[in-house]
Amino acid sequence: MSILRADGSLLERDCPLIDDEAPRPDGPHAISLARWQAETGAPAPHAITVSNDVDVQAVDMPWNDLAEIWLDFPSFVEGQAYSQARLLRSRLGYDGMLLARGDVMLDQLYYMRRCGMDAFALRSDQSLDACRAALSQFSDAYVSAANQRDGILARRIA
Amino acid sequence: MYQYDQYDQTIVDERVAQFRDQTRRYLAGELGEDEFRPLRLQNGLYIQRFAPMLRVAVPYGLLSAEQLRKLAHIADTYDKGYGHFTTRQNIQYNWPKLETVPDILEELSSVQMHAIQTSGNCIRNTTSDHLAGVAADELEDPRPYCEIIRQWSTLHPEFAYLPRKFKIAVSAAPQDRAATRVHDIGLHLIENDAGERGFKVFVGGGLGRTPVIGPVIREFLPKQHLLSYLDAILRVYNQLGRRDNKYKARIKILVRETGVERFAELVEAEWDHLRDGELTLPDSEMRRFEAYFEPPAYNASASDSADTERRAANDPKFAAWMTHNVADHKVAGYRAVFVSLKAPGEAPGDATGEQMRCVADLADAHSFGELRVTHDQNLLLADVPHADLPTVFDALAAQQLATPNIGSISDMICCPGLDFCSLANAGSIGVANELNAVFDDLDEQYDLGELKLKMSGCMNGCGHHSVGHIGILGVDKKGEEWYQLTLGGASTQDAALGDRLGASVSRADVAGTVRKLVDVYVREREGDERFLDTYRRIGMQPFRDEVYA
Repeated sequence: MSILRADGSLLERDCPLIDDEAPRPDGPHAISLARWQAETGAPAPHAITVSNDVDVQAVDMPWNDLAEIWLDFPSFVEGQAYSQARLLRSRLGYDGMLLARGDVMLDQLYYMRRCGMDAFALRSDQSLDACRAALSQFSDAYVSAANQRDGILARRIA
Repeated sequence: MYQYDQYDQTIVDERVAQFRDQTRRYLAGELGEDEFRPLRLQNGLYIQRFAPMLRVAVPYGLLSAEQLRKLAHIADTYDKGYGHFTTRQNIQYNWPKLETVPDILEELSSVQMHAIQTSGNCIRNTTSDHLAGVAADELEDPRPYCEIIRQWSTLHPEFAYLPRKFKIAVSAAPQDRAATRVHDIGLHLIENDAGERGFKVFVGGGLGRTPVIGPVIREFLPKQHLLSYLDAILRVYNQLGRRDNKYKARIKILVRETGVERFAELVEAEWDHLRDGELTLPDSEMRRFEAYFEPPAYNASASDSADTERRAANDPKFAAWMTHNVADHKVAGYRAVFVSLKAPGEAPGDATGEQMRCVADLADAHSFGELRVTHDQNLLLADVPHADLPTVFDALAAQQLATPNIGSISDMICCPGLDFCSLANAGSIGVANELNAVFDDLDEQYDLGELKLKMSGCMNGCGHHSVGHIGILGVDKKGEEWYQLTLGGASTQDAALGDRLGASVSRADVAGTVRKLVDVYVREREGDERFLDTYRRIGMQPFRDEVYA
């Protein structure tokens, strides 16, 4: 599985997802949000997974201790993580990596990028070159977003 | 009307290129059926019973003559020479070829049109009052707000994969001509006691299998906060709306299951973070949008024409058309003219390429080059000089576009039904024809007055049967087409859902049953009561007694 970054490069790093019951290894790894919350006092993991039904605003944790947050698309038509990403970026001040995983495909990358996701664990059948091109499918947009400070609506006003 | 600037045009052009590539990948087998589906739907493309169906957006129902000519050209070139105008003020083509759809979208883009988000689980075309800008009772023209909503919602990155489709309607008059209470969000432009303008916000109305009249969640929203408040509603819905069952995924179910008060609190809490942010609309920006909808250059000395009155006195057909298809206008010497797409024997809402060109020419010559699509599936020339009415009538009559039946029982709303739609359980166009045959006497129609008959071929309710004074719903019973009737629905400011008459009736009995309902009304009515008023006064029983006796 390739992990495409917003700048078109590939993310190369080893960061296994550790089961809630399994011991945490020494190197970079990911655990669930619930485990991170439960293990108070333990060092922050490299990454956590956040399922798409979590109200991220209700989670009182130091988000910026995390290098990565993994957002979940069980199916590409389930769009809750778009809102989670926007909230993490615009309201909760998270400035680490937001990684989309699951049913992640070319045709949704543009929206994901605009909502603040900047790494994409692509479904295995996706063409890397086509996905790179899709990140900048549109040259402009009406509303401002994580990767564009002034959308058309705001720019016309300025 | 609104004119694209370079930003709008760029987005639409890039969208065409994107869909051309998606279609190519689909046809090449690189994109699976399930993956292509939401992409094509968000470009208006359904796969229907016989062929794809393409729904083209007509933002808030407003078209230029040039755009209508393009729609006619598309009907002639890519379809079978006609199009179907819908209850959400759009147009549908029933016979395009999938491979040609990118070309159609490119043709549309050349006249500042598109099919973006006319289907799929996203924010759809915003609808409004077809008399916007010319109705005497409106507070101000709602269309600038509709255009602002169109831009905000177009390719909104957060709300492209909602639990279900999402429809917004805006009205700025006490008389609600936009069916706002049966939309996911209904916005009423009002003035508060301090003389400030803003919106009364209704959320969670809808038709379909669970029809609901939308409750108010905010009595007054200052108008500069429109977009941030919409963002807040959509964000709450995107996070909490149900995705486990598509029949419970609309926002109306979320509002019902959460409770109206609690839902409103959630929206307000989200809005607290967003208000006064970058989506705030300064007055200067509002004025910029309003400038696109300035009234046309009316002739200040226009007045009603004696020649037109003389024609009406001597020509009963013209007089009937004047009475039923011509509406008052807030400017002296002008009228709004309904173009009836409900000629007997024709599918309601259908227009041929030739008819569209005729209306486009009339718009150019007599109505400042613009026209509207109404949510009752007719067209409207909004600014016709009184003196020009005879000319307009003659031209429309020559194209079977002057059936004097606006608001009457034969001006029915009807979905495409089993003849075209893969969802339908039953036919509706054929039943419409049978009803027209039973009520073929125009004088009788006039005597019956305003009677909103609305028919859907299945419980998805595209024909708005739940809010018909008489509603007809096609159902499937062991492979046979049966019809469930309801009485007393309304989509206006006194919105209500129709009550079930009783057991469904067979296809053969629909027209006869409606005849009996109308007979009860004629017998029981007092003074100039409408059917709806009589029903509300006497209740269901007399109608049941007549039908099921």
